[in-house]
Amino acid sequence: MITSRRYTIIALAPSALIFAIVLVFPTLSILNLMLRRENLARPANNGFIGLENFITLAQDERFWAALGQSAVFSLVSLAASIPLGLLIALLINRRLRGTGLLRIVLIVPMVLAPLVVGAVFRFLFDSGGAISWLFSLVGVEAPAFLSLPGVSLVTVALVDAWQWTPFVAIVAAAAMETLPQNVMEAARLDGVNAWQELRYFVLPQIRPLLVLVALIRFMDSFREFDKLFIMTNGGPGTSSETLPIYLWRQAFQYLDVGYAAAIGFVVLIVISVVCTAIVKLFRASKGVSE
Amino acid sequence: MSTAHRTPSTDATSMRPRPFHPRQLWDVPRYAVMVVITLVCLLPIAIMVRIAVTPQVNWRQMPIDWFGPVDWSAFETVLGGGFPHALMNSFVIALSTTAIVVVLSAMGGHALARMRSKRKEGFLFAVLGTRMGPAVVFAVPIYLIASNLGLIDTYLGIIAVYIVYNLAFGIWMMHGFFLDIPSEVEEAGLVDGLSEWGVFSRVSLPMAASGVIATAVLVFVLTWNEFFYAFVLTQRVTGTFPTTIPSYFGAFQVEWGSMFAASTLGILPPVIFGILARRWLARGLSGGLVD
Repeated sequence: MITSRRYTIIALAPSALIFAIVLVFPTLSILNLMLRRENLARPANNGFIGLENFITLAQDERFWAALGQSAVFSLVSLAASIPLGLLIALLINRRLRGTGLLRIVLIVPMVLAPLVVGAVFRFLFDSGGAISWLFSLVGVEAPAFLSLPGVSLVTVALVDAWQWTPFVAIVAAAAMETLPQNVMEAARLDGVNAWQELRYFVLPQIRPLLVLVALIRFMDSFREFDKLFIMTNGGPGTSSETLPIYLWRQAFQYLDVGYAAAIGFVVLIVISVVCTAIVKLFRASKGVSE
Repeated sequence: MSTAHRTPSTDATSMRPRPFHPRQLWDVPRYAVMVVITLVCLLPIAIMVRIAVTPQVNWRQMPIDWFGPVDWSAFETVLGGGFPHALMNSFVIALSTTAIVVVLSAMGGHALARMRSKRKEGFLFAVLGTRMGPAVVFAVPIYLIASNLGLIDTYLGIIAVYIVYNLAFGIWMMHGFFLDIPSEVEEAGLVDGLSEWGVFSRVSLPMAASGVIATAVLVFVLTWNEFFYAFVLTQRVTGTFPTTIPSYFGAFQVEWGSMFAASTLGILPPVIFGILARRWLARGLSGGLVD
């Protein structure tokens, strides 16, 4: 159906208006704030300072550390959830009895509030908690997961992976279902093992979708706030402080909103650069679809 | 619940009993892996629920005493305080957001799907871009604007933010679902004398019903679970369920029992909703990429 111009305009108007009001204003506000000294605690010194916030940022060791910790967090979360999710997807698609039930089980972690997930795992990872008890069962002394610098960041990233591995599994399983099953069956009868099946048959065919899953996973993990906030609150010290946590501190604890806006601008740049890179990969491998 | 039975039964028909083959021995480790996955997914939640009904002295008892006495005092404390109000807020805010986002994104998504313009792709990517922006980045200006307008701790303020937060993804998803509807069907509606709006509401929308459900489920779950904007923009009056969780973390000790009782009540709606609508949820979470 070819729609009239009038229909298009009227149907899109409410959404466009909402975007204009509630999106354009905040964006302009960020661009304005990041060029100003805007400290709500000391309003006397506020005013336009040009790029000074960015010069401070470039010399701010805590900022660079947070950027690195954000990268580690996303990397660990993606590196754990994507391969594991793919393996679970292969298992689901084996059409064994019980896979229907497993699909229901996999829904549960995804629909939990990330904050609740963080709270539960803080209880489990606490010293004397269930996980150190599990370690003691095999005779290993558990590290203090949440109070060792470096370890706490990786622990929270793994909890993030726990929550979103099922997402990778379910999306990948759905993509695998669209692959020609008889070819897979034939390959299995010829004695192809699971690894070969994944490497030479499944992965090449679901690659476009996988790139998109990676994109969604990257954006979600890079902006993760809730779990870090409730599990470590950036600690011990600032060792698990990622960019969202650092930004929140600057804005809502130190009330330095100008500096926070500058950090926010950098976050947006990082996300769009990484996403553009991933989308380029996607375009290059798109080929058949669309 | 009928869908819950469908998958196993189709499995059963496709797995007619066949003569034993040594290859089937491989099924044993596969089942073991399935059991492990199930335990890893569900045990943390089971522990949470168990601790919620365990008296404080036994919180740290390992291994966990699954069949010990049940103590409902944490639930009584939680339900006797401000928590029911927060739960009510979550319902009001999540349901209003879902209703408005679904209507707006169906309209916008349909118009975009039928649009033939070079600018369309640009618009779609801009729309999705709003979804990329981390809440924490936009929270600063949104907080300043909201406090200037007196919208802090009001339903209008938080619902407006949630609408924008979800609208982009909603439009993107509905656009995809409407693209799946063949143009000829809609043209037939026009020939039969319907207006464009008539075609939209009587032909296209019913055909995209599963897309509408997918969008609604996703928006509801995401809004229900959202913490950061609620943390910044709401206080006592309109605080949603996640905003109550940090208050159980004291300076010296954590009220694990009450916190887990509140969490148990708070995760029920999205878990029930998500399991019932799981087919659509997978579709929603992947932005309509998979069926």
